[in-house]
Amino acid sequence: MTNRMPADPCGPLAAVPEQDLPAWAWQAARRAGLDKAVHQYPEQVAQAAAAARRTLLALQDDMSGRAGPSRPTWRLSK
Amino acid sequence: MSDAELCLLSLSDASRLMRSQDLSPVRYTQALLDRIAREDDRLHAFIGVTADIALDEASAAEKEISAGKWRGPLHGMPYALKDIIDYAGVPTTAQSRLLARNIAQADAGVVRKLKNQGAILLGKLSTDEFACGGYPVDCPWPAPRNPWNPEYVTAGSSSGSAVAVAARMVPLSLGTDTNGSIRNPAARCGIVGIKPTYGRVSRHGVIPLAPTMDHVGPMTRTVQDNALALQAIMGSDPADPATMNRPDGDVLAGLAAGVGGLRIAVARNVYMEDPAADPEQVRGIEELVRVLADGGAIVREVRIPALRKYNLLSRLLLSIEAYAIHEPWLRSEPQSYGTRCRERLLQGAFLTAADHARANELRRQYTAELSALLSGADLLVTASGYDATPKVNDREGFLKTYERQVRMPFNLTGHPALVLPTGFSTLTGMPLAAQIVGHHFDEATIYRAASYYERLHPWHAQYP
Repeated sequence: MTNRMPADPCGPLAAVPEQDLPAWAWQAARRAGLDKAVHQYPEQVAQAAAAARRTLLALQDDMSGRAGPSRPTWRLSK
Repeated sequence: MSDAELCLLSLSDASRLMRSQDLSPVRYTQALLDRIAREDDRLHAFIGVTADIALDEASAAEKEISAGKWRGPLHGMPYALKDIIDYAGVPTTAQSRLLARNIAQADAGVVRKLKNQGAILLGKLSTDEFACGGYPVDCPWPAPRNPWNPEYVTAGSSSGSAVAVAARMVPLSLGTDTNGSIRNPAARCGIVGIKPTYGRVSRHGVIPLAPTMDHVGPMTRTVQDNALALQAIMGSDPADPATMNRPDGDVLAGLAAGVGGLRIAVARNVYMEDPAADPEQVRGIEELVRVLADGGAIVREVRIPALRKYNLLSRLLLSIEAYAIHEPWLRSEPQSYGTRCRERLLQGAFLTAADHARANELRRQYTAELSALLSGADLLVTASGYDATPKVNDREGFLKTYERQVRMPFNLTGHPALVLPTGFSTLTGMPLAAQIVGHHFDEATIYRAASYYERLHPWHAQYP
């Protein structure tokens, strides 16, 4: 288990560098009230974060961050 | 008819015999209970057998039918439930230590319907823990074994539901399908399984996994049996808002109609352009297409453009929704979960509200893309999975099949999708399967095509 802290512990999962992921995952899990899981299954917690991260990265191009209702095609002026 | 022959009866045939009083519900139920007692020590389909309930209900059905009070095709018909579906007074364990002592307080919506129609509960069936799927290794009850060859996987999560039907221990089971969990084990065990349209069947009283993708559906040996069972359990339930204001229908209506004029879109690209696809799975799907075309269906090819992304998005949404349900237990007693289930559920802890909003937006886009495949067609034919069934000890091979399948997209979109057997591997003897997808609330057309194929290729007549 590493003691190295990620640069931005509050940053989004997809932006966390690979080497910072375990520490990020344990911190994020503790914030979510999952202290017991972090204590008992640190490797699994890190693996779960890595799996979620892989999924997000694979969808990154399509999940542009511009989520929301589709915009109207009309304009106020011609 | 011997007890062994009774166990081979289809639901439809048993129903006909029961209506004409040529088959006693008590004798039929006892024959199946005896078979379960003989076979289930090695197959582990059941978590609990409800013999007392079954014999009481069979006795009541026998009295009613003898008195001329036949309630319908499921009167006196034995069935079994995936053990995440509640039957009042009976344990619902979800194959988890967390619920090992949980007794259901009320009937699920589907159970109420089955009780009203006089069906008979034989027991509760094994599942992957909380229907999570994957490769469970440390659950409280032993994992079911494939009756065609116990060295090969059953797949999940409705594993017990598939095994019990395939092994002739029960003619009908109910399963649930959030990311393919009816269709995958149905395909691997050589039976018929349908994920009905989202909103077709009530999920009230069913332990949720991902409520926007959870479906309940029947698993049977024949297409006709499947349609009969879906007709019995479908319909609105005020306790499940997803089922409200939905069209009714007669899903049995077209069973004998043939396929002349049906417009079939075939999504070949997913399995034909993958050099690693199992040639025998491919041949089975292509034979289904050929049979439909020879029967007068109009076949055209379409492409599923981004299968991997659809599957990833489905998994992402499942992670988010399932975490929302399990968060309290993951906080208080993570040690009570099995390894695979815990790891899968924990993924949702790292996903944000923004991820969820973006995923939902993407779901709309992907649903539009997938729905376009069915525009101008009545049905879509494609693979369920396109790998050979792996062995139980091939963990990597098994997990790989989850990446290479066409089931999850239709949990995203809510389209009805059925798998049916297309033969057996000449190399391993394991069942092969294909998938037929239909328009929302048009299961009848799926059954029409599947029934036509089944009449020409009655694979269900073979048994393990």
